[in-house]
Amino acid sequence: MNLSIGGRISAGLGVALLILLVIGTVSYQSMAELVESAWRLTATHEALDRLSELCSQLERATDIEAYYPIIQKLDRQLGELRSLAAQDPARQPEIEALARLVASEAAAVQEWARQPKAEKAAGTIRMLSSRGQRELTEEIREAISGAKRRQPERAQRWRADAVGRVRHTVLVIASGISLSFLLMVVLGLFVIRGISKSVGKLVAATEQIAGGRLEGSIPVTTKDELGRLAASLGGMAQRLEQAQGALQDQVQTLQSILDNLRNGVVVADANGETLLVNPAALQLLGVTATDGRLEKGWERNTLYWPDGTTPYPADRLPLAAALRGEAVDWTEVFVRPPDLPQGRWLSVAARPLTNADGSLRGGVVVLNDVTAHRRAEAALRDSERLLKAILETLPVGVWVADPEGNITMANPASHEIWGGLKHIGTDQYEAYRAWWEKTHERMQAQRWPLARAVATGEGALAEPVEIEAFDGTRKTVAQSAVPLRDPNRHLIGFVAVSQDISQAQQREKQIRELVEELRQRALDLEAVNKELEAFSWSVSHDLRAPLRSIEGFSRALLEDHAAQLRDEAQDDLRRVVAGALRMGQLIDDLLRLSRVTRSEIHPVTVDLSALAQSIAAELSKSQPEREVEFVIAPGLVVNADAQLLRIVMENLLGNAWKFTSKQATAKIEVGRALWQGQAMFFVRDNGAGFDMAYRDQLFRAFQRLHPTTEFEGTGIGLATVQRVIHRHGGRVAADGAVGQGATFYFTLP
Amino acid sequence: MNSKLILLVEDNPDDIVLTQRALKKQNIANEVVVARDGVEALEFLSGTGAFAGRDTTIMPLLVLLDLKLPKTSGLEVLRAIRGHSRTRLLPVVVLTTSDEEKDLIDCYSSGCNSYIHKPVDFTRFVEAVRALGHYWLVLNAPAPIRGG
Repeated sequence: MNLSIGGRISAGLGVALLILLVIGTVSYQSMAELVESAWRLTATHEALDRLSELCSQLERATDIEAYYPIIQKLDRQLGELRSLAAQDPARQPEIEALARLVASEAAAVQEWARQPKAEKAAGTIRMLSSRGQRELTEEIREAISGAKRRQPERAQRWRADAVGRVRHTVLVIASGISLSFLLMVVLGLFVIRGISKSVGKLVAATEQIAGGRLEGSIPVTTKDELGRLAASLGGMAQRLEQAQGALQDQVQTLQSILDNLRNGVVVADANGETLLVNPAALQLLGVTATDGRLEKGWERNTLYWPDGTTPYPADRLPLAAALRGEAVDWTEVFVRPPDLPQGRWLSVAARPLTNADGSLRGGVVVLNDVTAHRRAEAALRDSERLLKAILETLPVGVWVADPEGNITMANPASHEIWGGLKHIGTDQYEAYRAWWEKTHERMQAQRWPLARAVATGEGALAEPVEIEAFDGTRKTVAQSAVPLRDPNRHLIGFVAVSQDISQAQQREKQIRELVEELRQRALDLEAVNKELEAFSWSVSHDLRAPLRSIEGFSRALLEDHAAQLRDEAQDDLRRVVAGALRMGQLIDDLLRLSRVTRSEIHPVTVDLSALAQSIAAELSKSQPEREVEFVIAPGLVVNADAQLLRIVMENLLGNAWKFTSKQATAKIEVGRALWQGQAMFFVRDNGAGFDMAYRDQLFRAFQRLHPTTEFEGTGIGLATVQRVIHRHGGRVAADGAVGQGATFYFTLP
Repeated sequence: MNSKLILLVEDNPDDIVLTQRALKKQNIANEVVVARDGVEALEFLSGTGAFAGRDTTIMPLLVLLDLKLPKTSGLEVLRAIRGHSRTRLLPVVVLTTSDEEKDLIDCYSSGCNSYIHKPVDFTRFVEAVRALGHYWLVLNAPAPIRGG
């Protein structure tokens, strides 16, 4: 059924009402008719009584005067009766007959009324006394009585009729009520059944929606209110689902933003309980959240004043301030998370959150890591300080000019150089009195390097200029100027640099003089060296020649004239020979020492072991009668001048050979060992040794520790050894004790 | 033609005597012509100056040349000898007191045949002269003299 519940109920009620209305109407009509017929019966009875009364009065009337009004009343009563009997056809003739009687009576009276007064009186008697009249009156009476007599019969009939009607009416009412009741029951059942089924489905669907399952439709498809309710509930659920989906998307987006935000966000309710804290906030603050909540009052234990040590004043804590309804704009705080001992600086802002009615709902805190920014600022400050310090301590004058060339800044050194400073523009540079160093021409204002740089944008470097400082002193400066540009090559100014080169020039002059002096000395030295060489050459040639004469002729004397010479003279001559030979040896050794000093060094790889072996062999051959044990370590290799190294080894091994000459079992070793923490080559013997107290004298020329009579020698050998080793960049050392042999160490790089 | 002549170029009279004595001691009987300086030595060889008119076909068998000489030095004499076609092949033994490396190199590079260092010890000098005479005067076959 497509009718709405309201419609159905209304239709049912309407039908029931109609039935009741019909029943009522029928009953009412029936009762009204009954009542009316009862009333008419009564009224007719009364009208008949009044008629009969009138008739009595008419009979008793003696004069016409009285008669007439009665007739008139009679007529009126008759009219009433007629209207009462209008519904009853059976009574019509009776009343009509009565009416005619009355009408004729009335006509007689009216006849009388038109007669003159005198006649009237007479006529009255006559008329009243006329028989016609009498009869008429009698007829009227008779008619009334007849009507009266039929009255009970009629009442009887009415009673029977009324009972019938009442019974009928009661039947109609009873059946109507029953019908209505039945209708209501059927309708009620039908409606209740339809409603309860749909309501059941609705309830289930509503419970599902309430449970949060918004998907799926409600299986109520009827077109009544429940159907519409279900449809709109379904629509509502769908819209709710859509709205929820959109809301979830939004929440997820917001969550994602908060999770990925580098700014820390903390939201708290009015009691300070954390409603939301994002990972960045936890990370920046170095705190942990339990169930997404920070410990209440976390600010007090976490935030420090930017100096890093003073706890943040309790009355200025950002969240606390926000919860008091105050806004906190970006302000710096310091935190020291457990994982970051050096701590970090945060910029913090806080705002109160209010409800629509303006009451406080909570607060939000936003955190920004500004450590890098702060460090960068500190670095910038440092670099500015550094720059300033550099400028202030630079020994060169520095001027800074704006892009137009107006001098805006100058460092202390510039004041020092010029004895003051003038903040002037390029056209006034003439105030700085100067001359070109080379030409001594006066410096024109526009020719200053800075002025040229301003004019052309080109820099100039270290142009020598003579200046007269503001205090009158004359100086020489190297003047430079360059444009300053920012990274975008945009001109931001100029810098001019002035270096006081007066002293440098002075020094340069001194250096030139020194160089000249040195050159002269080198020349002198060269001359001396040449002289020395010539001397050496001369010694080589000339000093030995006379010796040879002394020695040769002494020997000639000994050979040719021995017979003429006494033993004493011969002995003297032999001493002369020996002296000459010794001097020859001295000259040879001196020349060798001199040669060692003068000769150039040509380092090559030298097999020191082989060299020592060959010298040892020569020594053994020179005195084959001696038994000397040579222990020469194999594989000793050095990088040295071969000839000079041979001189070294000849001297050292020669010495060893010499100083072991008095040993029964001589032993000479050559090898490499650690000496005073350094690996050194050594030549060791078990000969006479020496007193360590004199070891410093060992290497000096002509110094001898043994008398010539004991061991021969010129005292130049070890001096030569030392000179060779020193010329190679090595060092020599000696170790020994009297009677316990000697060891000579040397290094070669 | 070859002779048995020895040219001793030496300015020191002591050395002249000692050299002659050493030669004698070794029984070297060759005639010894002494030139007392470089100029004289070259005049002898070229037959000019003091030696004008000398038969220059007679060339010494050996020249003993000191280095340190007045006027023209021994090295210049050596170079002059080597620079002249007639004397180019003469055996020249430098006999000097010097054992300077520079002198040795200069002499050898200028074409001396031998370099002998005169020791102070006369005994060793005699020994040196002996060896020298034995080699140059006995064993060595001189280059033929080309006429002129």
